[in-house]
Amino acid sequence: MPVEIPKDLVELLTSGVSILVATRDTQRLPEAVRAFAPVIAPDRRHLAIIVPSGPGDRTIANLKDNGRIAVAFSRAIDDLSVQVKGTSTDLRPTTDVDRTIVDRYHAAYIEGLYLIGMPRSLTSRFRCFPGTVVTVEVEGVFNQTPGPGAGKPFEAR
Amino acid sequence: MTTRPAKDLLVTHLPPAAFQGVVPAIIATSDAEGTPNATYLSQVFLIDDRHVALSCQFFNKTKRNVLENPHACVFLHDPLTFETFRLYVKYLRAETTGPLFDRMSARIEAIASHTGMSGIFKLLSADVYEVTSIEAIEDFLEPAPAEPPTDEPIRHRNELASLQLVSVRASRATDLEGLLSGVLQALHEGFGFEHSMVLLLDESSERLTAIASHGYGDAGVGAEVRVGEGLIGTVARERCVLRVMGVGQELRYGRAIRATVHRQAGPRALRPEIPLPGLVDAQSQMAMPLIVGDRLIGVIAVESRSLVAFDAWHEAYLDIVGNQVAVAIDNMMDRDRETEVEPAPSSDDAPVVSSTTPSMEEPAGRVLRFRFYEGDDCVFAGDDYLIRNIPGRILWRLLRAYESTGRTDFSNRELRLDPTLGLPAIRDNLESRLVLLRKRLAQKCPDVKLVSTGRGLFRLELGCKIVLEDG
Repeated sequence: MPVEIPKDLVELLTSGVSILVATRDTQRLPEAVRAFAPVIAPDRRHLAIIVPSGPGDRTIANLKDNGRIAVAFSRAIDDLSVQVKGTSTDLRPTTDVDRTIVDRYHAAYIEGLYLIGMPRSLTSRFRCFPGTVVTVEVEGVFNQTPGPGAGKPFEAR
Repeated sequence: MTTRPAKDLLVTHLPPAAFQGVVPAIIATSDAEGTPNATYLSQVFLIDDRHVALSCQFFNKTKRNVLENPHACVFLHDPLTFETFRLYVKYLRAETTGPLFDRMSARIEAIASHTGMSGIFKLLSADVYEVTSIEAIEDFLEPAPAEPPTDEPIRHRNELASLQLVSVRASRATDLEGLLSGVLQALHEGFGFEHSMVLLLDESSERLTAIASHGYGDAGVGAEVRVGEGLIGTVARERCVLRVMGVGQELRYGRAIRATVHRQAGPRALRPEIPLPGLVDAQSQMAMPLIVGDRLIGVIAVESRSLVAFDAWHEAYLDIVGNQVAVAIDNMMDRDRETEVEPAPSSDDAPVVSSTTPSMEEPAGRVLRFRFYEGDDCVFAGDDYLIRNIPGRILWRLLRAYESTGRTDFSNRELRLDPTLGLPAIRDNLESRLVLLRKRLAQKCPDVKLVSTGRGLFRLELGCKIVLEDG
């Protein structure tokens, strides 16, 4: 049953934050990868991320197998974090149109990392493209900011 | 996908910086039903070729998942190069006591105490995982732009020569001040430690006071740290070496937890964040306890603004230096006590005025007011805080003696025999307190000096008139 991403989270999720993805295979062996360039659908029940080719190949294979996915978003400057859980409903290769989204995201992302001391000379080389656009139907949104409340359903402030 | 085969790699082959937490590692797990979970890890601790330990601070979803399904995947970066690795691991057990737990716990406690989170943000367990395979992900980054070759010479390590330099400075020092300044300077020259300090323990107050510093300008000397607070205080309490890279990241993590607790339980649940001595923007810190026998003498600490400034070999070498410095400090204090000269008169009632004392020639016309605040146990010079505790009481005693009798020559021995100063009967650290007092005077009111006139003897020299007031 899809749920809505709270309205006040949309800006955070699309502001160039770090994105971590977990999937698992048939044997429930987990797989971790970084993803990029999130887009929240107008209904806020779906979002799309780009999983880069190469580091993300096994992630895509897992999603083709079972679709189960967790996507964690974390702002570098203060570790404000949320996790979205759901099921992938569509997988497609990136196109030139996606490149624009990636470039805009990447510019914000490397500035966020620069604020915490990560050199742009390295972070600007993160390979975000080409890859696979993964559309996720949202089934739950959880608080993941470090602390005793991490893991509980996200409550809008 | 471009990866290096697992059989080629052991965890111990990975870059040491990848385990420093500068770029937090990611862990993916899955529960029994197959719902995955992704989160950051606070610490990935290298145990041996086939095992790592992950820190568990909260009984969170990750922990619940690995208890149901022990398999996990850790995504790890070298912060210097962004070389990236995937570790496929299997949960084995949780350790809640023992050396591994203590080592991981001390690092977390250093950050927790700094952010006022002791007891709230703490290690619950060191979770041990078997590393079943490793992948080196070789296309995480786009290729680096081609750089023109440089003529930079290959740098060879010269640790032995550096150790020799420290050893020479330590062994040739004639007093405690010279010993500490010489060693810190040698650490800079030999190891490139630009910012360093030595703090000595005052057992009676459970505080460490910086009596020598290098690379902080006038700041640093006199700074205090309670045992158990921050990196330095934790090193003193646990008597272990601590090396924290990416300090900014660690503090952000601690502050994020602090903000959560603040929202949930209110400000009364929290102690204030503790201002600690040193660089405000340090990214790498390393501290070592100074121990002689079973006694803690103090702590030697180094720090840097570089993200990953200190490696395991730095730790080993600083350990050697620390041991030598601890023994040298202890020997010097013992020697000073044993070879002290009995002053001719030992009472303030019998003034001794040296005919050569510059202070007794009319001091310059400037007037400096000193005020002793008994309740706070501290001395102010003019409107500025000068010094507190025993060094403050020593200064006040000397100034009072001068004011009432004109006396300027004093001995360590008479200070030791004065019960009003509150010096401990054993291991009184008098010499280090006098070093601190001299340095604070040099920084804050250079017209007032304590000049050595022989072993265990010194003279109060004044370049101004003084007025004493009780606070």
